[in-house]
Amino acid sequence: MIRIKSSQDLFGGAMLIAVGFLGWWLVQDLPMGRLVRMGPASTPSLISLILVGFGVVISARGLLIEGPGLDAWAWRPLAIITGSIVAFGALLERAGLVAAALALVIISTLAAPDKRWGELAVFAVGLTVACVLIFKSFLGLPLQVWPL
Amino acid sequence: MTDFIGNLALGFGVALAPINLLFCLIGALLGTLIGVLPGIGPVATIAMLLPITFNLQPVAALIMLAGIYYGAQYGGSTTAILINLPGESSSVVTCLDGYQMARQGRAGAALAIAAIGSFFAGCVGTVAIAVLAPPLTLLAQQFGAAEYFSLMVFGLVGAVVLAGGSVLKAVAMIFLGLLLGLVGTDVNSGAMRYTFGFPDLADGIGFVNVAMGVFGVAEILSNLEKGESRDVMSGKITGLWPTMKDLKEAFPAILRGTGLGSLLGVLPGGGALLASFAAYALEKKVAKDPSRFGKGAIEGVAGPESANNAGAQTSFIPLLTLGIPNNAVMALMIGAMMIHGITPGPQVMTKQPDLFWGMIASMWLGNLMLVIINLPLIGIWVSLLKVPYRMMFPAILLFCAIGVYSLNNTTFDVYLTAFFGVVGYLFIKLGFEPAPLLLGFILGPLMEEYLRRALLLSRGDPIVLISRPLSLTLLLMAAGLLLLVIAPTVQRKRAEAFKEP
Amino acid sequence: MNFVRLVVATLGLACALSPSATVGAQDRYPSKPIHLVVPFAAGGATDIVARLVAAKMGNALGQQIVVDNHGGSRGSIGADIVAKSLPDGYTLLSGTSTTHVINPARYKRLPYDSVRDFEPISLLVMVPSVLVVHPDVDARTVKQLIALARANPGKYGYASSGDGTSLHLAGALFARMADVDIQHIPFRGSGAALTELISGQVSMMFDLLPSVLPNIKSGSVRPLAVTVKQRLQTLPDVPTMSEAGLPGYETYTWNALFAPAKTPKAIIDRLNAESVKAVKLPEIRQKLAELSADVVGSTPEELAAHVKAELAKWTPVVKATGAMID
Repeated sequence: MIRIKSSQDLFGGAMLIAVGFLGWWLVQDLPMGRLVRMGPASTPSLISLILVGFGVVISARGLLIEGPGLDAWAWRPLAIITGSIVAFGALLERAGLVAAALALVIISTLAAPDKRWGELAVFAVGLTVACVLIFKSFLGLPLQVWPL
Repeated sequence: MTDFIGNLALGFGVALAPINLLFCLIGALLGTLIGVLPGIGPVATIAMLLPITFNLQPVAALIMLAGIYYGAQYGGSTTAILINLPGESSSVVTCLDGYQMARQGRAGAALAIAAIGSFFAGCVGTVAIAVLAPPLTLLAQQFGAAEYFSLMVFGLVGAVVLAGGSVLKAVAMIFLGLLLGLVGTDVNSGAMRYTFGFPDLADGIGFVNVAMGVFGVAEILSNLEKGESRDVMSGKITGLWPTMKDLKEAFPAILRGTGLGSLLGVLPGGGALLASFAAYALEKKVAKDPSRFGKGAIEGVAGPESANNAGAQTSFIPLLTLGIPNNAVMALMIGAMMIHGITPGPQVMTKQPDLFWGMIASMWLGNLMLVIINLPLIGIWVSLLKVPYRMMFPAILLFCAIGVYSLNNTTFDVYLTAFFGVVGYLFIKLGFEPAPLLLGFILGPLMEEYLRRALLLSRGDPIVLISRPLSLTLLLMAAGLLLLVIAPTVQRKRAEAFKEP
Repeated sequence: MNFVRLVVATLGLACALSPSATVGAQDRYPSKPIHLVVPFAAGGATDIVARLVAAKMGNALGQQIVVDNHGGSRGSIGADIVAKSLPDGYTLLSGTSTTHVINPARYKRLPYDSVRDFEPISLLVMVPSVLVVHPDVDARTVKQLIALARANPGKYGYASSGDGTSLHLAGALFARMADVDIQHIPFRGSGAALTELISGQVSMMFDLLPSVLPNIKSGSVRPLAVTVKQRLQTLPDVPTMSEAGLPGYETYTWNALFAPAKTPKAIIDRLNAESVKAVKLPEIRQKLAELSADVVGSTPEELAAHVKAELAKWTPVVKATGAMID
C-alpha cells in the first residue's frame, strides 16, 4: 500500500490536474487552426495539457518524497471574510455605499478573536464616513451613497 | 553637449514657473493618494481630470498629469510594503520582501529605500529621456512580434527565480497564470474563452482583482487563522530609517535596477513591469546568499522599485519621439496633448522645445517633490501599523472593495476579488506561491498574441523565432538563465539524494 | 472629482471659460443629475468626446451630467445597461458605430437591439479614417496599391485594432470592393498596430485620423486616401477613396447620444437641442476639430435613419469576414 508522504503535494497536484482537464475540455468547441493562423483553442489546450503534466508529477512527488502535509482549514474566517465582501457587493448598488460599508466592516470584524462591540460601533461609523468623504466628496467617484 | 545644457536650462525655466510648480505638486500629491488607495489607478484619475485640463495651459496640464502618473507608481509600493497589497502590477515583487521587512518591524527602512531608489531611478530616467531618446526608440523599433515573444519567454524564465520554495511548483503556477490570462475575448478571432457566459469576463480578468485576492485578501485570511490578531506586525518597530548597512547593501541594487528599468521601460506593453520582475531575479542571482530573499532582503525592495520607476520615466520616450502610447496612461497623455492642439511626435522636440524640455525638467522636480513628500510620511505610515489588526483588516477590505468596484463600476469585480481571495488561501494551504502566477497571468495573453502574430507574418514558419538575430539572442539568454536556475536545484537534489540512507 | 476638480478649476481660472449663468429650473426636467454611460474604458476617444459634451450640456441644463464608464464586451455591457434603464431621461448612452452597428451584426446573441431598445437623440460627431502604408511599400496611390496586392495575393497584410473592430471591417470592405487578397493582422489596440506599421512589420492599415495624424506629419507612414466623401482640411493633399479609384468606399466611426426606448418626446427634444448647441459651440467645435472629429449635431430622426443605413451597409461585410460570434 502506498503511503502519502506529502498530502500538500498530492492535493496540489490533483488540483492542477483538475484545472488542466477543465481548461482543455472547455475549449474543445473552438477551432484549433493551423500554424499559420492558430485558432483560439490551440494555446489554451497546450497550456492545459502542460498543467495536467505538472499535476501528475507533483502529485506523484506527494506519494514518493517526504514533504509538508495539509494544515487544517480555518473555515470560520474564510466564510466570514468572503461573506463580508459579497455582502458589500450585494448592497452597494441596492442600498448605497453607507449600508454596504457598514455591513462589510461589521461582518468582517466577526472574524477577529478580540473584537469589542463598543469600539466596533464607533470604528465602523468613522470608517464609513471617511470613505464617503474620500471616495465621493474628494475623488468624486460615481458611487451611490444612500439608497435610491 | 552645450545644446543639452541650454535645453535643460530652458526646461527648468519653464518648470520652475510658480504655476507649473504648483501643478506639479498637485499632480504628485494626488498621484500618491490614489496610489495608496488600492484599486484606484492613474488611468481613471487622469481620465476624470482630463476635461478640466482643457482650461489650463498645455504645459501645466501635462506636468500635472505626468505627476499623477509617477506619484501613483510611488504610492502603489507603499501599500505593497505595509499591507501586502500591490496597487500597481509593477509593485507585485515589492510585496515579496517589502512586506516581510514590515513584519520584522523594518517598514520604515523598506519605505525609505523604496523612496530613495525611486528618486535615484527617476533622476537617471529623466536624463535618459533627454539624452538617449533617439537610440532607445530605435531599439524599440527593432522589436517585432517574434522579438516580443522571445522577450516574454525570457521574462517567464526569470519568474522561476521569484520562487522561494519548490521550483517545480513555481513553474506550475506560471502555467496556471498563463491559462488564467487567456480568459476573455481572443484578440485574433474574437472567440470567447473561459467566460462561463459572464459578459463581464469578456475583456478578461482584471489584474487588480487577482492581485488583491491572492495577495491582500489571502494574507488577511492567513493572519486571522493564526488566531493572534492583536499584533500581526510582530516585533517592535526598529527605527524609521535605513542603517548604513542597509544603504550599503541597497546601493548596487538601485544601480542595477535603474539600468534594467531604463532599458525595458521603452518597450510597449509590459515594459516597466517586466523590469521590476527582472530586477528582482537579477538581485537574487547576484546575491551571495539567495535564501535571504522572500524573507526581507533589502535588495529585493531596492532593485525592483528603482527598476519600475526608471521604467515609468522612460516609457515617455515612445510617446515623445513617435507619438505612440505604450500604455493606457500614455494614451491619455496623447489625448491631453491633442486637445491642446499639440501633435505628439518627434516634431514636439523641435517645434515646441519649451513644452518638451519643460516636461522633462518637471519630471525631475516631480521626483524630488515625491521624495520630499514621502520621507516625512514614512513616520505616519509606520505608525498606522500600530493600529490593532482587528481594525486594520476591515479597513483594508473596505478600501479594496471600493477600489475594485470603481474600476468598471460593476459589483462583478467585487465578487471576483472575493473568489480570488479564496483561491489565494487555497494556494497558501497547498504551498503554491502567487507571484509567479501573476507574472504568467500578465504575460500569458501577450505571449499568445505575439506568437500568433509572428506566425501570421511569417506565414506559419516557426523558424522566424530563431532566424531573427535579436529574437535568437533573447531565446539563448532565456535558455542560459534556465540553466542557471535549475543547476543549483539539481545539485541540491543530488546532495540530498546522497545524504539519504 | 469634486474637490480636486474645484481646486484645479479655480487655479485655471485665468484661462477659464466664461461662466454661464445657471437658468432657474422652471422645467421639471432635469431635477437631478443625469448619468451618461460611456460603454468603454475612460480615456478613449468616445470618452473624451462624451466628457466634453457632457460638461457643456450640464451647464445649460442646470444639472450635472455624470459620466459613468461601463466598459466591457466591446461596449455591449454599457449599452445594455442603458437599454434596460428607466426611460426617464436620467440615463443616457454615448453610443458608437461599435455598439449600434458592428455588435448587432457580429453577435448572434446580443442582449439589446440597437434599433428597438433606444430612442435616438443626436448624431454628435463623425471621425474619418485614413488608409496609410509603410513608406517602403511601392505604392503612391490607391490604384498602385491595388495593382501591387493583385500581383502578390496573400503577401500583404493590413493591421487592425482587433478582430471585428471598425478598423478591421474597414480593411475587409476594402479587400472586398477592390477584390484583392490581403491578410488581416489583428493587434490589441491601434497604438500597437501603428507601431508595427511604422517599423515595417505590416504594410498597410486603416487608422482613425487622430491617432495616425502625428505619424503622417512626421513622414513615418504614407497616407494614400481618406475614407470620407470630402477631402479633409487637415490633409488637403490626400484624395478621397472615390477620387483615388474606389468609388463608393466610405467608412468612419461616429458618436451619438441615445436614451432608452419610450423616453418622452419632450425630454428627447430638450436633450437634442442642448447637445446640438453644445457641439456647435465654437470652443467645443475647436476642441473636437483638434481630435479630428467632424461635428454633425443631427436631429433624432436623422440619427435613426443613419443607424439603419449603417446596419444595412455593414451587416453583409461582417458576415463575409466570418467574424460572427455566438
